[in-house]
Amino acid sequence: MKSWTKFLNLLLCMIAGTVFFFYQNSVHISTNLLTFLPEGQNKAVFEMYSEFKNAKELLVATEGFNKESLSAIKTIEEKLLASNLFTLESSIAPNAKLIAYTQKNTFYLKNLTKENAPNIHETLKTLHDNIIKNPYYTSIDATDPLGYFRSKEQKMPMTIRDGHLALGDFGYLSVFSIKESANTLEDYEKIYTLVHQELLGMHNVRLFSPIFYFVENAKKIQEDVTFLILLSTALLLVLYIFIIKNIYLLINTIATLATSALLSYVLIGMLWSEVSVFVLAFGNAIGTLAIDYMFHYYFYGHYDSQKKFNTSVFYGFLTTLGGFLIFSFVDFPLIQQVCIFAMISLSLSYLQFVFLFPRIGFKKAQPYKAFDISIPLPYRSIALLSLLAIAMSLPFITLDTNIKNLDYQNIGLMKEERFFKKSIKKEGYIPLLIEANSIEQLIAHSNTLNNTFKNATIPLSYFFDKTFYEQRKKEIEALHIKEKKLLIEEEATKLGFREGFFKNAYKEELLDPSYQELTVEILREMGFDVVYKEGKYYTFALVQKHEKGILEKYPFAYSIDAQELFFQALHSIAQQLLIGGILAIAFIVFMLLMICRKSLALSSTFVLLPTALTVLFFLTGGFTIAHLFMLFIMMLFGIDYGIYMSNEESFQDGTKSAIFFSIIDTFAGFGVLILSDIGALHDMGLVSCIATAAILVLLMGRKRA
Amino acid sequence: MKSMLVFVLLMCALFANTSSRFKETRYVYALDKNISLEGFITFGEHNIIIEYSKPEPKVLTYFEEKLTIQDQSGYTIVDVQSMPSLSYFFMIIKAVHDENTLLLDSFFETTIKANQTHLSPKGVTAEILEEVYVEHRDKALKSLHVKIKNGDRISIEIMD
Repeated sequence: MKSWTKFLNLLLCMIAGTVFFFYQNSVHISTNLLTFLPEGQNKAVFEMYSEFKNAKELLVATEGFNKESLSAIKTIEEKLLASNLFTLESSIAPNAKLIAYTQKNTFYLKNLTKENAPNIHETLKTLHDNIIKNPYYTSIDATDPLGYFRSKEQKMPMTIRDGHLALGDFGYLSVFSIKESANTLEDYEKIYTLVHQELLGMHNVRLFSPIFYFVENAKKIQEDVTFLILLSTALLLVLYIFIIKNIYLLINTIATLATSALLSYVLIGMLWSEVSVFVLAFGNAIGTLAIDYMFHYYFYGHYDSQKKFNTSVFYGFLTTLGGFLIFSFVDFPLIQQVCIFAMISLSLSYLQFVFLFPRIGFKKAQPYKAFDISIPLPYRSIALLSLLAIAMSLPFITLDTNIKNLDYQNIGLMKEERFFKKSIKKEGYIPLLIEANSIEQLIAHSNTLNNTFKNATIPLSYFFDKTFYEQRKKEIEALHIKEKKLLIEEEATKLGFREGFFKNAYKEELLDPSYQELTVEILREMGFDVVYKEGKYYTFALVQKHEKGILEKYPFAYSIDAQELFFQALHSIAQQLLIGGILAIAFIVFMLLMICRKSLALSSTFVLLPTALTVLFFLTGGFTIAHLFMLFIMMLFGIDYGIYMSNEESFQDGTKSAIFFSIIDTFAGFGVLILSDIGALHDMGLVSCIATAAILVLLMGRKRA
Repeated sequence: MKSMLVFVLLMCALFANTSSRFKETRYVYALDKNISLEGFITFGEHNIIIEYSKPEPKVLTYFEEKLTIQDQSGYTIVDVQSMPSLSYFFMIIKAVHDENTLLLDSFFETTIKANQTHLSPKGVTAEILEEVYVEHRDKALKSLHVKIKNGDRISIEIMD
């Protein structure tokens, strides 16, 4: 052996490390599950919604309706506005542009009462009497004395207490919108820190913003994944030192695993603009699978002396690789990233362990006799019973398609969100995106929906389109109001009204104002949320959840229901995953028949028992796609052991230790995921724990004589 | 700001705890006519009760932006928020009673001359109100005058 060969592996690791060092900054690690959903119209609509102020608002409330509370909310407003990162949306000060527009178009913005022509004398007398007899001060609208035009009902009126917006009975409320330019996680983190710093030490203040989820969840997920990686690495290191007992081999093994992981990471970064943080946690565990190849070669003595090619390990590698290849076709970037990462990492590790390590050469350690437990197990009966259990349980298994069960459950923030939604009566409502080719059409669509959904809040329905304008104009003409002006003045004077008080009633410019074309800029200046993107105009609305079904009739309206979006996405992913699973099972059966025909019952138990136990475990429900995915992966792991155990040598010499160690380290790699607070990782950890425990028991057995 | 606080403290002496007898005069521009009312005003912890004795007995209870009117024919509830002038009227009275200078400062510029405090509306208030005068004598409130932009005026004079 040439001396340079000894360092080849370490050299490779250094090269991989250098490549990683220079490339790592261009790979963006994301903790947002939405990023990894399949592309489609629903996802596009969801992303579009994030451009609206409503999706990025910050709600702050101070408890109580007293001086201290009012002072606190005013201080918060001042502090936050001083940062120039927010705009105050809850100011009760009217928008000058909107006032001017409303004054000009007042008869077109209100509802018109077209019922019987009002009796001028009676109507004016009622007005007169109200002023005189009402115990509270009453003013009258001199522009419409006959009351033809009535203000539209406010469907979700704001509560104002002491000249400030109020949050139900809780206290004062301020609503801020976050500047449009803030769109990245870094921007959100800056805002999050600023808000919390400014509010530090203030008591009886509650706050919520949807962007807090991004910041808090990202932090929590990163901490969780770092903890899992560190724990798993520490456990594995201890295990490897204990098992391998050869420091030189240990260093080389770690170098190989690091080379594979770093290069896989770099390659994944080249394929996707955003890499899920889950891939890092999963990728670390994949290393425990790759090290199995080394265990087998090491304990079979391949690194000690020249031996023929180990077909068991090759078939084991091939089945795992084939399995990941099948699942990489599932249209879910998260699963694709995990599969591609696993394929690259396993292939690189396999090549190094199988072709490079024998060249470097390592002295074989004595096998651990203590691990060579053998108890007689009825593999055939286990296989049959497992098969029966699977067949009987499958009809009762239901898939949980709630994405929230896969993500981190930020209970604290969810509580705050519910508190605000409940108080501002937004609970039970879902946001809606309205799409149109022009502002005219957007206003028309908004009014169409406003007439259909009685309890909806559709801000743009405040305005009217050209068709409505023409119609209202005709309706007003038909009322012949102008002809009544003289009579109104005469009757009013007779009743005691000041002479000329109604001279401004039904003025020509109010009855027939010129039609004003509205633009995105004008609407925004008036305080309305409108977005123009790729030739289309969008605005938003809120409709009651139970009325969502009616939306199907309106192709221009899209509901922004995260649960629904994820449900649909997961439904299609689950279907593809099942197809992948069926293919993987067919592949497993094919491999069993090809390689383990003589020991079919024994080898198949390594797939059937873990599957049966997992399926039985989830009979009561809560079976997510992360469980399903991991079950298929564990089936592929299982077949590896089936293949290894089909080899007669496995029962005869101490090399059974290799198999034992490989399942224990798989447990250390994947099993730790069960400690995760993130649904998806926890689910994967749970299934791997059940499956590896089952495989471990099976490995303790031996064929009956 | 300090002067405002002094003013508010003076106002408080009048409105605190017990009922005060008052005379209200509303000048209605539309009718070019004065309407006179008399009664008692009481400030509760969360409400304001105005009991009119003239021209006819009626009780007004202002609570959480709602005005309940009780007379011989029964109860009527009015949402004050739908009537900006009325809303401001109650807001001013409540702010004065609660010593809420912060609230008054949000809506008015304050000038004090001898026994008279002038509240000049700003921002949204200026859309509705013309000006407000508060007169006091010794440590007690003497009168409150509110000029509304439409030409109407409300004057309240404390009788006790």
